[in-house]
Amino acid sequence: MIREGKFGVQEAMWLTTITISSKVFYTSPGLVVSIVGNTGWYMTLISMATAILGFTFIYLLLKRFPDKDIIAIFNDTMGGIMGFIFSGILGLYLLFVATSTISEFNEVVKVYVFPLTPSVLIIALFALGVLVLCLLGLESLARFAKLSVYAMLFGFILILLLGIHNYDINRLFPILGYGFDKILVSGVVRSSSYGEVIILAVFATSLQGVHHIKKAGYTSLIISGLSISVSLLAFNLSFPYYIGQEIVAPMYQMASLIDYGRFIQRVEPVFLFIWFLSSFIAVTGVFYCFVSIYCKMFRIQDIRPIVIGSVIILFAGAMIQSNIGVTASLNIQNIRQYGWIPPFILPLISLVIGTLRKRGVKSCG
Amino acid sequence: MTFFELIKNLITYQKPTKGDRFELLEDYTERADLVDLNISNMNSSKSGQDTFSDTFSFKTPKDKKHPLDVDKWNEERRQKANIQGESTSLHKDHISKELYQNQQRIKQKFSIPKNKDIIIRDLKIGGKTEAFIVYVDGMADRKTINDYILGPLMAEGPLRTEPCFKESEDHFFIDYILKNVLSVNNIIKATTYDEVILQVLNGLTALFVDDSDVCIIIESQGYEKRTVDQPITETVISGPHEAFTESLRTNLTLVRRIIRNQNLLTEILPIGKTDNSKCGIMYIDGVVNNKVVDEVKRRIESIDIDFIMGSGMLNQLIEDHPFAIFPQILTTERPDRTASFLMEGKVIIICDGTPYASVVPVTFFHMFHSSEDSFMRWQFGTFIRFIRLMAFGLALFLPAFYIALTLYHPEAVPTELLLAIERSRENVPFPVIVEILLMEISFELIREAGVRVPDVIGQTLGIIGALILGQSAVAANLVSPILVIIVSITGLGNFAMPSYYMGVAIRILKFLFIFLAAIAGFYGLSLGIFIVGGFACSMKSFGIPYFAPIAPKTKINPDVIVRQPLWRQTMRPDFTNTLNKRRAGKIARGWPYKNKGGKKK
Repeated sequence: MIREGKFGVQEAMWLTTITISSKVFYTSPGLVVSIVGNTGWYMTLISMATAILGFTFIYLLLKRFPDKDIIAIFNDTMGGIMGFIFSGILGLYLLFVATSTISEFNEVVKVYVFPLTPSVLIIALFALGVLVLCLLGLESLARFAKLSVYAMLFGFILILLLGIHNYDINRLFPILGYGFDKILVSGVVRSSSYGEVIILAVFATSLQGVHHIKKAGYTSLIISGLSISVSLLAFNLSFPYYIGQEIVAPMYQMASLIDYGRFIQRVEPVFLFIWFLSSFIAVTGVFYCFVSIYCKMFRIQDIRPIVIGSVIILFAGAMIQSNIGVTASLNIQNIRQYGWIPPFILPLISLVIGTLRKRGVKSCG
Repeated sequence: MTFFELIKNLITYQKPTKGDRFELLEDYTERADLVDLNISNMNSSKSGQDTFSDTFSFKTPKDKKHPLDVDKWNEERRQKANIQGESTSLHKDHISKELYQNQQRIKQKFSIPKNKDIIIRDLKIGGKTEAFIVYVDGMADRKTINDYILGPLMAEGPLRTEPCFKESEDHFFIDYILKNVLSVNNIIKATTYDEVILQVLNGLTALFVDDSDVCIIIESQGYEKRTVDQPITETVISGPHEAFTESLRTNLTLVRRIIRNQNLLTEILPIGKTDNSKCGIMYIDGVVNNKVVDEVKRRIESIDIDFIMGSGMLNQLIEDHPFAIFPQILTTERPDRTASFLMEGKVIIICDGTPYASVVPVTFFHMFHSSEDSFMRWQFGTFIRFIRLMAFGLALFLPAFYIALTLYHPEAVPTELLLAIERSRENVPFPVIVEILLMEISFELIREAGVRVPDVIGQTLGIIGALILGQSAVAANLVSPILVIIVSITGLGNFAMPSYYMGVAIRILKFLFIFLAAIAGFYGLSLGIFIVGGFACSMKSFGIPYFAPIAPKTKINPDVIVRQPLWRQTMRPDFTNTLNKRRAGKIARGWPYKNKGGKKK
């Protein structure tokens, strides 16, 4: 049996929250502005609500099988072959998310911070961090997420507050942007932004009971929704929508515009630490779940030997992307467009089939 | 292991060999929460554990017998043979009734006459009965031996005049000597040579009497030892000024003098196989979680090393992660701090020969606490703790931060400051990384030399450090003045660490961060924080996560970073799973709620 360790609600909650929220540091806010203009800040709340609905299916599925993770549940409800395929799709989705995130990270870092540094060094260092933490285990990662979240929250709020002098309320109008129908459709589709909540179902056995998963899942979705919404609001307030859609890393740009007197002029260092640390945590969390799924699919008892090989795949996958255009327009767009299917629809299908085949416990009397 | 085996092991899969790690998880003893006990009330009850075993009964599945495989059967046979062997050897080791045989055996055991430290003195008790005493010269007190052992035994008195002791009544004779002749407070009887030898080596005197298979061990320790002095590494402004010494007995007494409670238990365990050294384990029965005590004893008893010279060596053998850089056992030289840890439900290990007590289990945050925090008002204590945390950050990250800023992120430095830095670096021929390594290594050299040099020339070393390496290096354009400030602040931050071992860990990690910052600026620094933080988060100290109670989150503890007022510290730390969680009444200071007459307002 794979030993993933045990951790509490708070660790799981913050790990999931950081994994979901870290995308505000990349190209996603710019893409949101290009799709729905200046209404991204409440469009994401619609996405959050949709994700909460999607997570409800995951929760109901886990409730039917209290002591099992999603891979075991797929096998139980769908049978060996279909369960294997479902698990494989979920695993590949998580690997794709991890490689795309590293690739996006690499491109954004090259644009803003290290223009002359070769990609191979940036990605190799990233992969090294992922490798070490994966070898240390999920418990260590969850604890590190919990420990570092205080500093990250402090820095995040600090940047938002210090940027107040750049905010212009008029930039929020017209309040309905390109139209409510577009906002609604985009909101539902972009629930994929919250799809990483599925990692709770992958390491469900590490949490002490389904009620803990429920608490961690809903809380992390709400906190992530609010933090993404607040950062998008600050972004919309800081830049007009026609400029905003051109910006690759909006939060970094916002941090660099901070200017108070002669001394407090730029606070990118604060931002850089939050950005880097949250990216490390997010990718490691998602990647660990991929390795865990792989090991569970092939009934491999020890995760460590698989991690090293998988990190090489991760490294290669991230290096394949030729430039930021490909990464942003192809990978990230596709993940946002269809990324809601693996985390929310697969568990829903499993739930429906499990109910029809009368598998699992009916209720928790 | 040959070279090829090493390569093979590197590239082939090896199954993890370690068993399950000890974890202090919540269990039925958590129900102690329900019992509102106070340490003062514990005197009436024997121990918390007994209370629980009386109150709750737990069914354990009956062991089923299964046929053994060949290996297990062989193993059992071997164990049985060992036990039989031990019992026969024990039988052989019993003291004989023949005095001559006893003396020969003792001479053989101590390699007399080659070994000049061991003194054997023949005597006649009451002028009639043959006897001899054995002691180690220098370990035993000569005055005690002369005045209170030899004197009464050989003196004129009932032993000479009363002919009531028949040859068959040897035990009666021994008891008579114990009760009427020897005027020493602590006397025990031993029946085996091993026991006698161990006690003689500890400085006691053994008395063998003819026709008796019992040896009298008489308390006569009198070796030279240091008196109780002021602490060297944990000095405080307010609070007691006494520290442990090298004597185990003195150290145990110093702690017991502070906690005058019968539930404070001391167990003595042997540690070194050849040097026969021993350590004392102290804990408060009914407060401490017994699983921790059992784990401490299990680890100490499992040690199979010939020589352990104190707590420094013992700690390395019993800690959870020997390859981790952060200390997992806290050492203190202060009895008052030791006592406060005991009251928190920790286990204390004190070794003979070192003036330190080891505390387990501990967390990362304990490394920033000092006994002074509790003696000062809570605002001051909290402020000082924040200063220490800031010092930790500066000592660990400041040089790396400087490198990252100057090499990779100059845009983040305010213009005036950037110009000042660049002006100061204008004439320096080295890159920043060489400059900082030069200064840091020089600083480490001064520090290491400072420990070794005699006190008389200590001041000279300070002058050399300050003038030559600071002023002269700047004047020679080897380093920039701003770098001297950076290294000085880093050094000050390190000195502010209350835990010496944490300070050393920071010194080493500082170089790792410098290296990472030189490679990739803040990105490398973040990577370092991620990896080192991840390692630290994976650590446990005797079953307790290193970053408890923050990661994992346990119940709010009023004494982690913010030192809340004493009257709010009503509970013991949740993460130690103590049997008795409450350390103060629900209203710890009743006077604001009562009138002068004692009535409630």
